[in-house]
Amino acid sequence: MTFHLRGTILLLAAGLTGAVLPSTAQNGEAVDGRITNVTCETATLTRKGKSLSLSQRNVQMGVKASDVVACSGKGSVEIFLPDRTEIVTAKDPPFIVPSFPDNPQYPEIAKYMTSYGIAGATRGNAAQSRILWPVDGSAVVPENFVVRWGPVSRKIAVSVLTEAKDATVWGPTDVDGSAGALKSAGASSALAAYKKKAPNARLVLTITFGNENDWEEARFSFLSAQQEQDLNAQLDFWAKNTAGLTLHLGRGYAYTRHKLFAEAADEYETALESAPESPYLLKDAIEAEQRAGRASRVKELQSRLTSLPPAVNP
Amino acid sequence: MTTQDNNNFEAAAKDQAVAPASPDGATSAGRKQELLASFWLSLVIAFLLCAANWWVDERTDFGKRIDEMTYGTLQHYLSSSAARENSQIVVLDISAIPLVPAKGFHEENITDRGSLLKIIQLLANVDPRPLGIGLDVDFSPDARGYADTADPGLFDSFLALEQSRSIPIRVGVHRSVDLGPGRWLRDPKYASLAACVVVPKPEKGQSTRYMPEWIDVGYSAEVYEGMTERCPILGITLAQLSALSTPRWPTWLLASTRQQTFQADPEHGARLVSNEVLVDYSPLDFLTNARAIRLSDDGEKLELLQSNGDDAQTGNTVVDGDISRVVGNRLVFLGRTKNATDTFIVPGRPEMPYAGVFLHACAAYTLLNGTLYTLAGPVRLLADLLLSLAIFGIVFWFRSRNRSERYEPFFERHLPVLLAAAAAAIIILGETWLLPRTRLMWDDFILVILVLLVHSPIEHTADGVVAWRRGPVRLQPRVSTPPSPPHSENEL
Repeated sequence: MTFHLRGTILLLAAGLTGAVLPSTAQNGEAVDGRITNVTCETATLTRKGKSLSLSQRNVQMGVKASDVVACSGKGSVEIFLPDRTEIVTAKDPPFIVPSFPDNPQYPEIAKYMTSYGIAGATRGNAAQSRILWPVDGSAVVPENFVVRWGPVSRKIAVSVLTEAKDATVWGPTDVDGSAGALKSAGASSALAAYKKKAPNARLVLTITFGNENDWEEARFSFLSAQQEQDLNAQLDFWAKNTAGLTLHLGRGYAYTRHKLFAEAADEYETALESAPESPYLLKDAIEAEQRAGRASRVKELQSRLTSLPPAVNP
Repeated sequence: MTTQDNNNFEAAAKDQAVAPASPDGATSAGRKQELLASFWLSLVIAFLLCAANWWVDERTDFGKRIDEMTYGTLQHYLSSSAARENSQIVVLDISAIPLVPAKGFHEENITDRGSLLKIIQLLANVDPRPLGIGLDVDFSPDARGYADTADPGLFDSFLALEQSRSIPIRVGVHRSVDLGPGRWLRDPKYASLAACVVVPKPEKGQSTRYMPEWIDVGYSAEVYEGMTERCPILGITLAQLSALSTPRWPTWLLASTRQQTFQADPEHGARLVSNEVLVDYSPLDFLTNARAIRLSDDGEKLELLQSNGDDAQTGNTVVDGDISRVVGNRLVFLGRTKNATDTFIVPGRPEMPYAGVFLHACAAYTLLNGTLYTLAGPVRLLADLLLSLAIFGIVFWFRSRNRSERYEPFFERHLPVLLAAAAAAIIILGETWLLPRTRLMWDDFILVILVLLVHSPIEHTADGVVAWRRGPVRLQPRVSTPPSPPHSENEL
């Protein structure tokens, strides 16, 4: 219990540090503009009633629709917008960032292009392993079992085997590789049934990409009965003694200790709603999301973390 | 007639049944009928087998697997060392350029624009200069804006380089074709730089055989109703800077392209038409040894790294860089080849996926070194049928000319098998040895050969079944008209 209390204090400190800081970061999704230059003597960005002083260090920071940018004194603030570059000076009224639609102008063409093929060019980087979840050494709860992989433009075969005897637990099942994820009721029930027979078994997820010579695998396990009991005790502790932000931090911590990274990431995401600017919480969420294989969410959170001002982002 | 005479008669009849017929002896009506029946049976079986071949080929997974295997094998017969020596294509790996957070309107990592621009500028100033530079990076902007705030400046620099150095530079776009005519790189002034980098989804059971030659995008909104704009393809548009090979076969005989159309309403609305060509992947043998390119520490020179591992940034040696020797007078494709997000399985090389830049380079190579062909649909069916009929036409000709029953079993049973085997051998040798010349990718020739080889056994089985159904009378040995007795009864 001492350990739990220590954890509580640490997590509370981390969460609250972020919760009280001014709201300056973006939410990681698409932005409506970026600040490209700040030369004003005093410049401010106001979002949802909270203000942030802008300086050169905020260059490249994203701004969202309804944000208000104001400048006083000499100089200006340059904002790169989808249709123009807005220069806000002291003479101008505070500039309200307009909203821009993110939809394609010709949705039918977008649909045809998607049906026809995929981009044969790079944009961003690929993960080290194409299996994003479950990763090696992770644990899963059969009911929540989901497989994630880096999307590919061909059919893939997914199967789960026992590590000891190579016996098939589920699959192989052909899946459209471009989907990137598979949540199958059949897989969940097969894993649940197998867990009853061999609760301590180690399993191997195998994904065959295109042909039998191109495959990858990841080893994972179920929570053992003892671990499950321990986890439930920890979750009960947090539920009885805490609420709100602390509850989710505690649950996230408990899940992380049991390598249930997807569940942990969900808890940290919920916690982030209460403390969106906490760098510590962001880092925990990034780690959990990374280990849960949600690459796009990792990028969003990383961007959110790096856009925090230096005083906030240690 | 005495018993002796009768014995002589039987013996004579027996002899005549196996001895050569007299040259002037006419073929009996029975034999003619039998030959004709055999001919019609052959014809029916040939039709049935061709239909079965078509069905297996088009409708079954087994047929598609055979086709894919055959097509993949043929890809390995396309290469020639001369083509390799004279290749005008070079791929340079840009995996050493770091990925940085984008400064556009979405949170994503992109290839560092500063390094990219510097590398292109240095490449353009190499002497002799490259014939063209294709950047296999997806620069697609979206409805909000550019992928990166640096992109307009980058495009301006590329346009300036095109003018000052006369080097065409093309950059990749994909999803931004939905932004409207001329807006693929947002500002219409950059439209000439844009080249589509789409790779078609392969047909079921196939790897990526085709690449688009062009894509026509028909827009539907009021302003652009009926306006169609052609999106050039990265590899093809660069290849067109050089002397393209010219098609050598008439299109009704051999097809070198195919089209795909996407349109919800055939009368109105947006549509997308792609014209595709088969790709020769044999240059992967030498293209995959792509050197990585990077800037020197002071950022003022180019360095080429010889690939000797998976990581372009470590464990490689800097090539003592006469870069002009590598890129001079060549079409240069720059793309990420390691840990790329765009990888594809190509025919004949199922062991690993290849980065998109290699596919664009191979498409360019194909157009420069020789278009690939397939048999046009009706010609393919006709070829299957004619091959079968040719063999049994020859057999029928021999059998109808033959007067000797002694050789009949050979003509009837063994000659078709021999001819089928000879045809199979000729087809195999012709399709593989002559492939670098014909460029004909006949992916179902194995199935056609199988049809030829099974035709004769099937026909004999059918013969046997027919004979069995007709009863024992029909199984009597073939005997020509019995000879007249040596003497008339009156003489005796």
